[in-house]
Amino acid sequence: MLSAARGCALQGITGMSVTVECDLARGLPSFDIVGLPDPTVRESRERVRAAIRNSGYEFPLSRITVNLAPADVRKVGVGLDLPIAVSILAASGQSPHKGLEGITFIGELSLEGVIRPVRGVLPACAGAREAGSTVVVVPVENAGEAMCIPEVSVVAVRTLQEVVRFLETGIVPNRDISTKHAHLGANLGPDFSQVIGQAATVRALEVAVAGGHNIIMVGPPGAGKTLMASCVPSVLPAMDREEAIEVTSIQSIMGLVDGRGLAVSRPFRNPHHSITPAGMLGGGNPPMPGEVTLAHRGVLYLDEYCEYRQAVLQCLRSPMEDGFVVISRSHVQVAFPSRFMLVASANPCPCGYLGDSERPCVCSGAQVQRYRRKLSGPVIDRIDIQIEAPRVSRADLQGHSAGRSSDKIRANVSEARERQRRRFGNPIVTNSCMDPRNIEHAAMLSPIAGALLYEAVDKMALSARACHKLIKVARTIADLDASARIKDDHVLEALQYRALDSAEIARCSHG
Amino acid sequence: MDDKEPKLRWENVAEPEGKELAAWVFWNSVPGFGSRSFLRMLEDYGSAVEGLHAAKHGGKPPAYARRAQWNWAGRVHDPLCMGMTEIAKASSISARVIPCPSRLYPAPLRNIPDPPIVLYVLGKGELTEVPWAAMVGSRQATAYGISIARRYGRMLASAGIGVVSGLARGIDASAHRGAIEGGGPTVGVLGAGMGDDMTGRLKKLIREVAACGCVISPFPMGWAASKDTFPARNRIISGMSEVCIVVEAAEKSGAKITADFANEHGKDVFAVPGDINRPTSVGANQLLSTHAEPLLDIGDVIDRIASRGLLDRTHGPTARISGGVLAPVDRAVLESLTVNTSFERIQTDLGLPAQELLVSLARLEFAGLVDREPGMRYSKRC
Repeated sequence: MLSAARGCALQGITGMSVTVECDLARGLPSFDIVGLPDPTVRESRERVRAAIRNSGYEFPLSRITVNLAPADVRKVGVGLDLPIAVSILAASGQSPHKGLEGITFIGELSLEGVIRPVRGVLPACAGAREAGSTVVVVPVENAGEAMCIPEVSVVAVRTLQEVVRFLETGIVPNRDISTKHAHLGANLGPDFSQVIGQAATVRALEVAVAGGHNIIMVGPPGAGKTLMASCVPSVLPAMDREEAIEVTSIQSIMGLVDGRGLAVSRPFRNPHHSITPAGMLGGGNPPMPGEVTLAHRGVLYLDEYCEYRQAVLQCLRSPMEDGFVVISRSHVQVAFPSRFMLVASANPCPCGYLGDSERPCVCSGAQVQRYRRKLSGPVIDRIDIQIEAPRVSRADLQGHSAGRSSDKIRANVSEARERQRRRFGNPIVTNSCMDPRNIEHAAMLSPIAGALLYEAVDKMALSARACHKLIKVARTIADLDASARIKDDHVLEALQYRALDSAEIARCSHG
Repeated sequence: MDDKEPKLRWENVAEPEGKELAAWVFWNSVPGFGSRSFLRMLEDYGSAVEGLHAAKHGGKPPAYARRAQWNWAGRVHDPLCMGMTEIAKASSISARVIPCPSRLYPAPLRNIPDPPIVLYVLGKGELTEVPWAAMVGSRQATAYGISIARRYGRMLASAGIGVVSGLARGIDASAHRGAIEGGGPTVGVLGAGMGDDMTGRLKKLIREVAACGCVISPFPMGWAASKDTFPARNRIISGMSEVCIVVEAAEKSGAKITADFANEHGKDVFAVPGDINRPTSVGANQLLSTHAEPLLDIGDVIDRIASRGLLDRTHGPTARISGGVLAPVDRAVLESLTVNTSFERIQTDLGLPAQELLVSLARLEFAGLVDREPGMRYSKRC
């Protein structure tokens, strides 16, 4: 007897449809799975055997061969338990084996026949749709994510018996799946109105978010850098559907989806500085995403930038440049997306008080030099906005009213993003991605701003890259100002966001 | 060993050349053999070369030399060759050796009690063309001190007064950099011999200073820095200057030693008052209570030097940049600025949105009216 059911395996963050064939033959009873199963799939034999028996069905006493096609790709994950069980039941005549073609089964089995949730259901469903399935059978806990994929109907199941009943009768078990979020924009963390003073840094963050620019804040301990960074999620623009699906797919693979369907807020990741390169880029076998991928379409926040290992900082370069990370293993090569906005904060020197007006810096020149070396190089080169966040003295704060609220900033940011979207004709391209080739034309510099820019370049001996950064940032400032062309004021403001390029602090006090 | 004053004056000593210069360089490298002993030896033997011969013949050392010094000088196999090698080493890094009677030797330094017998000088500047002001202070300086040192360094230089300092980080480096910005000469005095191992940052500062003035050292080539070389350096800093300015100094600091030397040498000492609670200001404030004048306006120092007829007024202070055609907002921002004013302060005073203030400050900085200091602080340029 022969039967086939469809399942899904993951490759990176895409789902790959797998046909599970089952053959029952006469001979000594045995149960083999072929087609490059990895240990988790091979172990499913025991779970499937117990689940079938404990659900009240008979486990066929014959020579069982299960083949996972295509046979040359390694299959990973526990989601293949359910299609294997269904194909065995169908082959042994205990469930219908007709009409299985258009259905994809995803789920892990417990020994008593209960279907458990699995990771990566969203990309798996997308893969199933690509392969032509119209129905997906998924664990009830994963139904929310599965419903994010249009054009497939979702059957949410709790037990193996329910699956068989559905196959026999075609009646979809009635489940109340809530995909509504309690409140959009809730628990977005601290608000910018809590920040007192530091208006320049808040403004720099606004510009950074509006144009998707990377930003670094340099300042002594206690300046409020971490607070301001944690306010960033509250001003990030809303994701469109395409972005939300990408983000949810990644979260789905990591098992981070909260069961209510598409993610609504952009991810904000702040890995600790003890992270390894593998943790940052992703790794393992099968390859799993790292922090750069988890921050995709959102923010990667590196607090105490200089404390990270040099190797970790170096490896950020290619994901920032290309927007994806490729992880190669002997069997498989996986590309994970990594388009994130980098927000970093750093002390100006190891003791933190270089350039402080009250406390002297107690670091030696060599220490500062060693430290500053980390604040230069390929990654810092790709940070468009560098702003100093000094300690604010109490005297300076007297009479200071609270800053602008996150809602106001968010409204500005959204308008600026909308302008960029219209200009580039692509919703997910921002000013920070502008190609350096014909940037001066594309950025629409007004003649007077152009003249000012070149004067600045000559005066401050800026490199071509620094000049491009200036243009990109000025373009974003112009967008925030609702200006079609870049005016001189926009260039002037952009000139203020180059705290590290000039590195005046280190130059002056440390020779 | 007695301590009589030599009768011979430096003015009456001829400038040495050739072998004699080599002998001078050699005697300069004899540890502890100062210029007073050297002058008395010249009195006795007529020249440094003859002095070497006397030491070679052995016998009882003269009253002005210690036995160890005299014997050491006598034991050296070929002292003239050693002196020659020393001069060759200096010229290999394009440094010059200037003996005390030379007209290139700074005159105020020659007049202190025990001036270096020779100076090693690196850089294209001259040591005698302008009057010098010493500006010294703490290595561990605050932004306050750094910005003052830079600003005053620049103003002195643009008024035609050279800035002498000690090439250390903190105040010294800022004073040098300020002077370089002001387009004036600056002299850095090393606390070690040239060619000694030095850090990358010191090398860089030396390059910058030498390009705009001189780096000098009284020590033989490759002489290692030690706790004794720095006071010797401080003595030269104060010795060659007309006035000595202490910007920021802790209770125990080299800057105070320099100020004490300056006092000894009869120079005017100025100190910049500092916050009495801050440890880095204690030394400077103590000086104010003893023998230093408070420095409230660098114009006082410039006037003091000018009143001695030392200042070639053609330099003059550079024309004040006028706020010709400024937009009202820029003018308001400029007026609210003094020295090292924080961004927050200006913003609170004027109540401007951050982006407008950033634009305005950038415009003023671009026009050369305002300097940006570390930590989002701004100073009006004058």
